[in-house]
Amino acid sequence: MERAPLRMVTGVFALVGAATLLSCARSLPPAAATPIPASATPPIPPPIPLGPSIPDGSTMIFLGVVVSRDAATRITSVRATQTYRTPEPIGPLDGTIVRVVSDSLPLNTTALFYAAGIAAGSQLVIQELSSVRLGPDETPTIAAFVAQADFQAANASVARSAKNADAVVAGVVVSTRAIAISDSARGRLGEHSPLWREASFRVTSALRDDNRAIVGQMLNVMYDAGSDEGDRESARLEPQNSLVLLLRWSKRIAPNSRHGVDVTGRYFVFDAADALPAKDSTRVARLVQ
Amino acid sequence: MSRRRLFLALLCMTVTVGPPAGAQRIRVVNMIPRSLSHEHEENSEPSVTVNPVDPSFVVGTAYTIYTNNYCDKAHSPAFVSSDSGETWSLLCVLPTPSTLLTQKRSPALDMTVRFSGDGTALYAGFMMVDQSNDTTLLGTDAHIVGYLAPVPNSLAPVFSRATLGAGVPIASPLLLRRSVDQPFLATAPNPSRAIAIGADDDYMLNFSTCYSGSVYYSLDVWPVNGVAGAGQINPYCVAFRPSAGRTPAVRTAIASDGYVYAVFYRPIGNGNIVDVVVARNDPPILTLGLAFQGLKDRGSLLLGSKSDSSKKLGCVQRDSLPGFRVKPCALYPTPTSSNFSNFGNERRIRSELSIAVSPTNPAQLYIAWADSVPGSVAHLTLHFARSPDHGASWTIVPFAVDSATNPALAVAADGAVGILYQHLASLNGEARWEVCFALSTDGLASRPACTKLADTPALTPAVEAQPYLGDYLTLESRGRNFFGIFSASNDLSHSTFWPDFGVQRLYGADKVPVDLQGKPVPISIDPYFVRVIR
Repeated sequence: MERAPLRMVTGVFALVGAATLLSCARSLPPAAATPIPASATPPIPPPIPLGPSIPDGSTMIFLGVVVSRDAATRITSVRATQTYRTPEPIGPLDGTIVRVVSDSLPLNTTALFYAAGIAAGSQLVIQELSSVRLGPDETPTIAAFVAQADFQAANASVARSAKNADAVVAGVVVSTRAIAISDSARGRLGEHSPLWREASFRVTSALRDDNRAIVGQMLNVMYDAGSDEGDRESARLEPQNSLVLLLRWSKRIAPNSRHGVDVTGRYFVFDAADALPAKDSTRVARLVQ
Repeated sequence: MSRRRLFLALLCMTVTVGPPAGAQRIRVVNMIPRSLSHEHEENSEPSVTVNPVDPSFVVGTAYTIYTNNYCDKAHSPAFVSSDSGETWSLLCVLPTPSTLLTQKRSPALDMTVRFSGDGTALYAGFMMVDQSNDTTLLGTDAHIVGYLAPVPNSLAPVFSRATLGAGVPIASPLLLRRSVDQPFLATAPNPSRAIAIGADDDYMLNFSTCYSGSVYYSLDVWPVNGVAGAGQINPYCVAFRPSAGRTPAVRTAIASDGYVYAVFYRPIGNGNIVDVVVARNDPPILTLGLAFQGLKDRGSLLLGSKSDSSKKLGCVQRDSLPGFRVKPCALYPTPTSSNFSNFGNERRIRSELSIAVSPTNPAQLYIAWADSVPGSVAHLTLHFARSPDHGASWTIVPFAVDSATNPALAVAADGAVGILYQHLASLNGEARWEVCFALSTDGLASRPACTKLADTPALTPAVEAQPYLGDYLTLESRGRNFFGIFSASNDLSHSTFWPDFGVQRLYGADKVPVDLQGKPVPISIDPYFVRVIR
């Protein structure tokens, strides 16, 4: 089977760090925003080389057939046949024509496209980050490849966040309550400032060796319960929730985001990705050691 | 019902809704492109600007929280039209500063866009909330980005970043400032590249000489051979008077004679009382400590209660401090964090302000603001005032709009005043958001009729996050014409829009949104472009 070499685009699209995970998490609808996949055994990597990894910044991954090309503009029209990743507002591409800024691919070629958006008008116009020619018998493995990449990116994110956490623990949310803020302090807060609440969190196990001393303790944990768009991906703690928390000391919060709040002896958790279901404790423990 | 509420209710009953007045031609267009038919997010808090040299070139912004994920991490989207707003595309064009590329942050929020008065530059202002657990910041970063000499003809037929600029520099951030909220842009009505950006600015906040209300101002951020320089745009405090907290929002206007104006709320008491203040910078003063002190609070005694509490709050007499208090000691609902259903899902954060100056008579000013009704924590009422003398004296006009928000003012070349706002109405017990365009040809001496552009359910779709419709909308004049934008539900099955209405996203036979495969999509909040040709 003939296979084209992988073409990677660098420059403005060569982003760094956790972009893949972030893109994946933020592409989910709000109700399903937790970016960590289920802790089941990860899928087995596919037997064919779909690339060394998914290119950073690939907001879209789909299979398609080249139906026309314009050499002058480098615009290739591709009929999408199977969608593996698109941001929520885009939805599945199956059956639609997508205009791809790309190096030329021969007409009628079937390829897997890694891409990011440039424009959305009557049709989508996207920038190819890389593409891999495929035969029809290879397509069933693509979904597993993407899922595996997402799983690895999620794990990398947890490991990175845990490295900078002051405590990584499992436990139960016992209760939650509002934090009183004086009117004078409230006047210093802006519309995008976090709206802090506090949870009592009973630690049942430490997932990092240096946290063993706090097992069995009740921690005071601040979290953001604001309704602003800037708060949308914040962790929301509810009584009886069994969670793994990646905690920071609240004194690390910038003063202009905690006017009127006594942070003494309090931890905080801000990002929903730092409040994981208890079933992930084994996986997280393995990642943070 | 209080006598004031009864009075306001009677006034509201006089508002006419329906056909357009006179010969004006109105067009309303849903800006969501066809290829985004699957989207169902809150495209709220919109802004739009029309190129003064080529009015076919229009750029708009709105909250596009999840649509951001379509673009790469280095860019945020804006809506662009090259046919006077008839059709729209979303372009990934607003650059993210390199320092923020690797941080966890929110998408671009609080966006506004404005073409410069000479049409050679497009400015965009937006902020991103730093969501990094590991940097202790949790702050906001405001950005002003600029585009030099955009070439409208290059937009069609293929939209891309490469063709947007076509031979001119693609934007680089002109200003990056930590913890600046609502960077709201205004440009001059005459041929210049002057820009004035109102902001709630931590950088200026010290709670002794400045209460965060600020204006970033520049005559030209590209003064030398088209080279951008962040140092060319500087912040100036406008909120000098002791306040009960920070200044929530600042709106600006640049006059053709070089005066720069700002209107803002000054919170006092427990924060549920506000002064409506206008500050003015007199050309050419732009020295820190002197800027925006052109108007002092002087003149006749203030009206109202002579109680001790009123005296303590300064509601009884003028204080001679910088910034003229057009409406002292107005009531305002305590900003709420959770109860939005009592005002059509909208929050109230003291941002309902607008200021406009006549392009042909630079001494003629208009402002709009919202305050509340005694005893009601929910309502906002819109008020208007005019000044014939560069803000030295003001007349509060003898009408108000009850249960309304998001006023936007603009003055046309012939002196006509356009008002765009959103009115919370009730139809058979159902809360409705009506969008009104009102045109005054007598300088707001009498109540202008409401031309209803949209009538949509107020409580559906449900709130996902705030802002729901937005903390503001915008209106702009070009010659005798007006161009505006608002956000509203896209549920055509339960809504009425202006008869001359355009839509690009797909709908099913039952008038509910569908995606490209014809599957139903949840109803959501969309941005709508308004064109008023006179």
